[in-house]
Amino acid sequence: MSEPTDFAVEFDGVKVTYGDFVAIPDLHLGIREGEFFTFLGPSGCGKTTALRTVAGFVNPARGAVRIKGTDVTRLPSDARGVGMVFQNYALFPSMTVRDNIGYGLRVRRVDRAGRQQRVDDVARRVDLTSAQLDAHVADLSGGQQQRVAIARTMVMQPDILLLDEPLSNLDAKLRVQMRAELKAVQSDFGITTVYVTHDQDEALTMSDRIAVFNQGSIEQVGTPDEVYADPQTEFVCNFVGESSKLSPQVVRNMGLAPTASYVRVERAALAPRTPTAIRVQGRVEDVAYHGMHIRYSVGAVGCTVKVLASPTEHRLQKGDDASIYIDPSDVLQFDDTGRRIQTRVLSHTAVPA
Amino acid sequence: MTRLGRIARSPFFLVIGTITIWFTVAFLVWPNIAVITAAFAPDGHISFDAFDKIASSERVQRSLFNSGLLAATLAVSTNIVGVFIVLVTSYFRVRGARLLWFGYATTFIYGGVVLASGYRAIYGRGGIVTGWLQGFLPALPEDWFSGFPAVLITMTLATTTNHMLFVSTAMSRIDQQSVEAAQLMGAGPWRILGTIVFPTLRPVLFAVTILSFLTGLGALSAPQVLGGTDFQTVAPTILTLAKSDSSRDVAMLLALILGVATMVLLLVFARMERGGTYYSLARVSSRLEKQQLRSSTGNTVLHVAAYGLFVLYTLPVVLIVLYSFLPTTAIVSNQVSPADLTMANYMRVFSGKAALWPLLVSIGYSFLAAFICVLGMLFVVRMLTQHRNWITKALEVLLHIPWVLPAALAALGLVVAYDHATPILGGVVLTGTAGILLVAYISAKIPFTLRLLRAAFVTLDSSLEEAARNLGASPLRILRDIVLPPVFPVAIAVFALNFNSLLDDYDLAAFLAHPLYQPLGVVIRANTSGDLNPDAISNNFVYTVLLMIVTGLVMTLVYWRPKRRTPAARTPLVTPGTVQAPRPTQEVHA
Repeated sequence: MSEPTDFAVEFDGVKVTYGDFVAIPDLHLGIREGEFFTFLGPSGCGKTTALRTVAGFVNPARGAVRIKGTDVTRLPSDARGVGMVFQNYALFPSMTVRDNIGYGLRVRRVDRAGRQQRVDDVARRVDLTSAQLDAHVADLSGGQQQRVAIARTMVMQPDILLLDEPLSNLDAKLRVQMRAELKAVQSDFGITTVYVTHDQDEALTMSDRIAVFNQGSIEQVGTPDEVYADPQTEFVCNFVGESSKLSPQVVRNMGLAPTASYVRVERAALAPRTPTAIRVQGRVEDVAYHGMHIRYSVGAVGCTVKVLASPTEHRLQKGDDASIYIDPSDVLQFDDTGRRIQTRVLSHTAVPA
Repeated sequence: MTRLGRIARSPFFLVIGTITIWFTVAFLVWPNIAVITAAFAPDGHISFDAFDKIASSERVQRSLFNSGLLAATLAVSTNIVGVFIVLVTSYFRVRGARLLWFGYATTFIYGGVVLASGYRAIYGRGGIVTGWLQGFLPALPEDWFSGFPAVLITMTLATTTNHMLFVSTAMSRIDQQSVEAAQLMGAGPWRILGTIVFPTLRPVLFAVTILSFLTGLGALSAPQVLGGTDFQTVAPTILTLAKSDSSRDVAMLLALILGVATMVLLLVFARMERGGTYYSLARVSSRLEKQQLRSSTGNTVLHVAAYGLFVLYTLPVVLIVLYSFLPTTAIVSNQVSPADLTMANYMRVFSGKAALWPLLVSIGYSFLAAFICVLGMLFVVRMLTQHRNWITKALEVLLHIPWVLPAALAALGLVVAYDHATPILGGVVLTGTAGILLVAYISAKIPFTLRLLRAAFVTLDSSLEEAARNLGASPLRILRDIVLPPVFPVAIAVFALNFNSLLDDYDLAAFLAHPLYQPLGVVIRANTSGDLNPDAISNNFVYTVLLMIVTGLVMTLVYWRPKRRTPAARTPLVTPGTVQAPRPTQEVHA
């Protein structure tokens, strides 16, 4: 096991098993102080297990979890200095909002006056009114319940805030609104935050850094820009953002080495944007109107390439011939093991439709 | 740390576990071993004389045959009536369906020996309806309502509660969209019933059929009160034979036969239950709407039959309430006048200690047993759900023993196991004491309580406990603050249902009641004999009305919830769906 470092949270060779099933084989990761760090991945990839290992609800079979340099692997949940907001908020249904927020303080035997002051203070910071404090938790909306859950956690002044898909129970519009609020709360409290989600939009818009999980292992760690623009594995390329997989014929005709190749949807265009762009001829298979843009699915040789276009610039119909322009430097290529390789331009040839 | 290691390090669960193991061995396992010993080794040597005695006793053989006959016919008759009730209250559009439901539901508030005695008082020798009928049919014999038909009719009407609980619930889960799809393809209400609804209900119908069969097999009070000399079944025969030392081994063997038959059928039932039932494949199902019969003739016939059955169900209740206000002389002479209606019977019961005593004894036993059982099981279930290992799994199975064994076997087991000093009870002789019935009641209610409380515990959101742990709460504090508040309403409901079902118990009390502490069921049964006290008949009417009021109040408490905004308050504390198959020979009295 390696030496302790100055990370706020550190996984050092953590292995987690459920019976014979290995949920996390060998996790090494460091989360920096004050960071908003996101575990991103599909269902069952081990991201929640990793979070629960930090919380102390899951005991690793091997390895260590360190918080601010202290090994907390064998410490109970409440002795780790972590606060957790659960996916369904886990608000105590028999208590009022005030009792929910003050529960941890009551357990720690904080006197009534001190409790009230701290509850009022944290409630103000998460925009809960005094009327809401005396309400029953069931009487609050989803967004308000989430604020209560955050307040209940933050009132304990934890070193680390753990958020387990806290937006998944909200409707689409509220989700977007709550992203900003969560980020503001995190920034206001200045607390190291670990956030779990399967939603790439949430991860990209809120995080300082992202770890993309797949089958219990981390595929890539990086800033949202690094993860999106420079995916290091085929899995990350597919999972984060939207890409079109190019057929070997198209790749070869573009003068590239014939290996697994992708182009981001916004990197393909209906008009040349760079002098080095290659024209790929195809036919429109599907048209989807999205308001701000139109998404065309264009069938080329052996593949379908998705293109975004402005509704004011291009209006194609299903069955129309279409030319797509892709710059070879925008093509993301991966080897047989799914690892990213440098895109190599061999020659420039347009692909006939 | 191993799972057993964790339980060993928790003193709280260690104490609960030790008490549970002792109780299980002492009162659920050992009494059954004692019965087997008493049947096959009555004097310490292995003997199969009991089989010879059964083979040579025409009466015992007849009782076995009668039990089989009653079980088989009851399984059919209950399904016919029960399915009809479900159809007219839940499937077809019938005017006044809610009123009909209340009429058919009268057997929820009185059953067992109370119902059998009530039917006898109304339809039996010297009964009110018998008097009316003889006005039209002078040749009608006094005891026209007795023997096998009387037992079958009474038990059929009493046992349809299973259909009202389980089949109605199952039907309400059928997706209306599948019915509408069939309608679009041209299917009428009857075809939809036969091809869409009934096939979906097949598992639950099979389950209630087995429950009805078992109810018939273990019937005690209905054959005793209404069977007469010609139609006695196994359970009353066991009760009679157990009183004599020379035939006690036969009683034990009969109880074992009853127990084995019950277990075999419940195994089949469990197998069916494991198979699961699919009411809807839709992600968002819509509620089944009632179907309108297109044929006006068919609709009329349906309404006439529904209301005819309604009268059959409600007439005894109405007459029992009415006659509870009549003096004994008016009841005996069958001369009813509004001027005779007084509160005298109620005054007599409430003012005289002798008349009130059985009611107080029943309330005392029921309250204590229901309270101890629920309180104990709250801790036991917490232990069983928190610590899953081979010991707790075995304990959970053993705690279900009272569910699969008939009351007669459970009662005889306690009698023979503790009629002498034993180390397991610290040398205390339990047989003949008032405590033995309390122990039997607590044991009998364990499976039902366990099942419902377990359902309440496992549906608790585990993240609530984790949140509390994360906030620093200790295990006992989590139990008090987080786990018990949401479970508490269910515990209260289970307490109330247990209390209700014990209030008029006869099946266990007939074997175990102390002479000085005779509960209501035993006294009502004794009053049905009629020769003890001229006021006994009117006392029975008063007892029955009081029981109906108490039971009705409790049922209201459990199933009716005021409209509040909290999601938890919108549903009943214990829904019919969660009350899985009641222990047939005790929960459904007949």
